[in-house]
Amino acid sequence: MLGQTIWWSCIALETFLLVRGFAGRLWARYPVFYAYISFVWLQSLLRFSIFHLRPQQYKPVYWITEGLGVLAGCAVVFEIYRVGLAAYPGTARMARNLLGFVSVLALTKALVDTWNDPQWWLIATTMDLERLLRTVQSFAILALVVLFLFYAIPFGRNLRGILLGYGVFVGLSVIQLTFVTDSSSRFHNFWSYASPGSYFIVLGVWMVHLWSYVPNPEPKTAVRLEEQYQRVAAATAQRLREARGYLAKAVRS
Amino acid sequence: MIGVWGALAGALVLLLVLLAWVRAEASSKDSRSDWGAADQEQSEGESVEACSPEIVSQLFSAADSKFISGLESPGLENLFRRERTAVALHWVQETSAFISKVMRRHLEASRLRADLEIATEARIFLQYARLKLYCGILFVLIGLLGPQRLAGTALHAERFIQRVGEGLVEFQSAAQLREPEGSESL
Repeated sequence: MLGQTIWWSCIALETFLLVRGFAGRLWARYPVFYAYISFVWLQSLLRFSIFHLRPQQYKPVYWITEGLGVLAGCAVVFEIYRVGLAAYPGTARMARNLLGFVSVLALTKALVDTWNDPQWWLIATTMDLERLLRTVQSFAILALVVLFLFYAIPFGRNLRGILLGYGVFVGLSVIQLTFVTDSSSRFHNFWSYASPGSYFIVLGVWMVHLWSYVPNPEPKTAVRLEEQYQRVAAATAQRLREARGYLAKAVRS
Repeated sequence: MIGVWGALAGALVLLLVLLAWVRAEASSKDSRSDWGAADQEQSEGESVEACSPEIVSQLFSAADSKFISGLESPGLENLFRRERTAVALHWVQETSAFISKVMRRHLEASRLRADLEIATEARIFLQYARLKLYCGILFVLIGLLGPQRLAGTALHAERFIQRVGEGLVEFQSAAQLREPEGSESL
């Protein structure tokens, strides 16, 4: 009963989120995110119908839609990067390199593991594959958030909500997929309620942050834009060298 | 593939970093203007240069300590040691804050640069981290030994920052060599 209530509440919140997005013209600002929510909404309805009308087909439908959802989620991460760093070409460049590094690292690990055990992907379950994809996604989000923190990139209310909600959702998905591999484990029962419950909270976060359109703060242009990066870097190095000089003097004296 | 514990650790770190990010976002909302030109002027004025090298040398020198010891007043000696340590610790904190400001200004400028170089950024960050680490070491040493006894014991640390300095000089020379190309396009 509780599970059904959470399920219906999630579908209702997704509907409300889509309606608000349409009414507030947020669709045009974050098209990938709203396409993702539309997909999840349709997915929820499809799963619900299949669960009641053709329960024997629920499992394959669940895993196919889940896989598609993971891929759609990657597009959401890309939209966060694209919109959040549109005004910051330097940080965007750094992010591209960092995301490239994460991808290369994941690909290398996959190749090495396949080389060591060519049968692993035959043995791996759909759940294992989803956990793997979600883990790579969580590392990509982690890399982006660290960069946003490091460069103090200011975020508008909308984008902050999208990133926060999706980041929490991915993080909790990885934890859930790690503990729920064994259906007889005591965590299984707990997560069967905790997972949709946490998704409901994530939808609530999106609802609050995406109630209306709030633009992202513009970067300060007072910085000497005419300067070349090499000059900026050299000036920083010079000032750090000065600091080093003071510290050295203090110790030597 | 990625182990169960690796995935779990990654997810937990992600949740913690998200929490830190939300907190940082909330706290920076009010102080966002600090990242503007006003802060630039302020940081220049407030730099460590306000404390002249002579004063810094005096602060860490053993001459005053010897003079106070010569007066043979334990109370005065204790007071002197306490005060001098407090001033030295304050100076290290100020220097550390100055280094942070330099880095913050660098990040402010570099995040808008389309011609940003990853290797240069990494190098600057490494120098910054080393200087901050050195400030931390200096802070602990001053607290433990007092500024006057530091000269002898921090020889190793001095060599360390010397190496950092050499790296910076190398880097700056390389940057200056490239500068004429940039100047033409300005």
